[in-house]
Amino acid sequence: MSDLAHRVLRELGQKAPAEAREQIQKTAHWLAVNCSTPGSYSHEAMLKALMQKGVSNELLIDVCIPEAARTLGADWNDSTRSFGQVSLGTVRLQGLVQELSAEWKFTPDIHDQPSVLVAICGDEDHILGPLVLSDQLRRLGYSVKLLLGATEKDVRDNIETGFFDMVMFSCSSVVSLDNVAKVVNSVRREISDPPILLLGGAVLGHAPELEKLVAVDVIASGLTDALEQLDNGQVVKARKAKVSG
Amino acid sequence: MKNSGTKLWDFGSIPMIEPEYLGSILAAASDIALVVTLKGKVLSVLVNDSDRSLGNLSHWEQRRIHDFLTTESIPKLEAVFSQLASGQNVLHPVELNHRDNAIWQFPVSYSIHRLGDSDTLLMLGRDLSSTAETQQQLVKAQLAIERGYEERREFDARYRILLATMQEPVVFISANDGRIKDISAAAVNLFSQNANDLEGSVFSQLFKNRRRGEFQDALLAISAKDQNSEMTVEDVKMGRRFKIKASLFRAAGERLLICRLISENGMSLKDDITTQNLLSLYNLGTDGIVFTSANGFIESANEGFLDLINTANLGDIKGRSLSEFLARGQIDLAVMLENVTRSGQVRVYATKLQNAIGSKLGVEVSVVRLPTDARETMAFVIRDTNRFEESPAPAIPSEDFSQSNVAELVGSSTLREIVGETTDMIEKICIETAIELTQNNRAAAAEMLGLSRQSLYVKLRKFDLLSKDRLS
Repeated sequence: MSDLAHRVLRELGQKAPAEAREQIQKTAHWLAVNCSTPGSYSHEAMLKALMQKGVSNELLIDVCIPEAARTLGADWNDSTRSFGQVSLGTVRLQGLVQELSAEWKFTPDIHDQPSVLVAICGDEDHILGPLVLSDQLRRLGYSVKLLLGATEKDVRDNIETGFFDMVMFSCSSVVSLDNVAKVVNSVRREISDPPILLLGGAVLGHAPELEKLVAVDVIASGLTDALEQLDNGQVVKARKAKVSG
Repeated sequence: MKNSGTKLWDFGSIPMIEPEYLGSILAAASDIALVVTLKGKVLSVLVNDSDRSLGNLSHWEQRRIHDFLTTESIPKLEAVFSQLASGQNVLHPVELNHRDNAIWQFPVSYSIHRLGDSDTLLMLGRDLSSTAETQQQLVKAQLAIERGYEERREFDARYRILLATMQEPVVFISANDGRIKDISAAAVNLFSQNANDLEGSVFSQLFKNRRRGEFQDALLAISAKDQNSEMTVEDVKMGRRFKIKASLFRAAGERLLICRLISENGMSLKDDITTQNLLSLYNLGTDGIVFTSANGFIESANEGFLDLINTANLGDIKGRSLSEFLARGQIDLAVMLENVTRSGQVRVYATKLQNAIGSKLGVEVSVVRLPTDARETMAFVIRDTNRFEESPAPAIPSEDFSQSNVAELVGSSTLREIVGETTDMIEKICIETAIELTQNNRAAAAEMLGLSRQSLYVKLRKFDLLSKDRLS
């Protein structure tokens, strides 16, 4: 009986606070409404009001802002928000991510610090995801370079001079996938031993069999998925298979 | 002519329109007009002649409209077709993105209407290309800003690494108000304070017998002389004497002084290794370290503690009571302060931290009273215990073991008996824990449990916990 009582107490102690989840949901909704409303918008007033919500910067960037952006997208699908409102809202959300992002900190030992090039190719204008990803990576201790509007040459030059462990390509649609495929092919053609090449972004939900369209080592649905694949050796196996194939 | 025979239109009435004119009226009233079936087949395309930007779209006819929509627009149009097929009207405009080859896309806002009882629809579209172009300009401007941020980040990284690694203590001062704008790590160590506390503070306050205005004038005076000019100052905390060399410069219109601190004999200043190590531990350690006044008001805290409570800035918590971040609030703090005042230290105290939105985190706290000249300071070291919980503690049996025990219980007693006995057991464990945490302070234990003292006594008697021997 004592064991049962202990188990009950332990499980009660581990229960996630419902208030926290509710607060996050409310903040995401509040962001979606306030960032997409046309009219006078004060970035400073928005930040101030956001700070008073009692949600940490990390949760705002990782959960609330992406959720607010998803809400805007869903509202466009339901025809309850115009694309002008959605664009305006997204740009404002991007501004908030920049403002809330972790500040650069000096790391005494940089020798083991992994480095990542986050590349957004061509005219791709969906950059909220890559901005969030870069901040998450920086918080995890990665050294990150964000390359916007990247051309084939930009990516190759950066790989050759930057000593990156990985290049993450972010792509939102099938239209912009062509650009990514060209850049990846150019890297494979011109650089003998490139870093791990990874593809992520909203395109994963729009195009099946992406691995046949883009010659990357990893296709990941998010940062956690990418890191899990890298941790459990799937990437190394895939790279070996490509070399032997 | 109207049905009524009059030649003038009454308000709100619509004249009969001959079919040969209808097409050109629709084309002129909208930028693009489509007649499509409910299955999506385009029967007719009319483009406004005055707007040539859409080009010739006659090749859409007899093909599915889906072939000329972007991926995300297809389910949106399907939903509208379903709504119309079920007899409902679509009153709101529907924005769709068209594509006519791999690259060219244009957004159109449609109002969609059924044409009588047939399965044919009229889609009147307003071309949103010019709005989209404005939006593209907005996005491009934002991209340029982001590129600027990235470039600034690179410069910032170089500047920060320089300040963090240079041996020379250097301080940047605003020439207008004498406040510290930035400070090198060597200077932070020299003054034995937190960098965040130093930034924004008045530089003259770090030195003995120096008034802000007079000190500022003196710095400006030596900066105006030759490079070897310097002034001697005495550190207010440790009483060390050293010299300051200052140079004035302008950055984006603001006048700044860069002050280099050197020892009296011209050698570079170094702080002792233990102080450096302790400061590094404070700055880089994963355990939370908090210094409070004797009554528990936070004076300073390290990054480790800010991480534990998910707070970005020390300024947000400075001056607040530590009890605000403890799950049992004032009770936790009172128990720890009482013990530390009595015996000088608390070795291990288990509790939970809570952040502003109520998330809780199991921690172990040790507390030490620091004797200083002027007043008492309490030092709290707080360690996250959640990582230990993953390995099963020896006192608590494993999940499988508990499961088998439950299996044995079910069937041997009724549910009412099992629940009743378990409730008693939980009550007993909680009371024992509260008594232990408060070191047999029954008033504090009752408050912690949310019971009256009388109810606590009743329960202590019930569980045979009144004897002090049992609790010690």
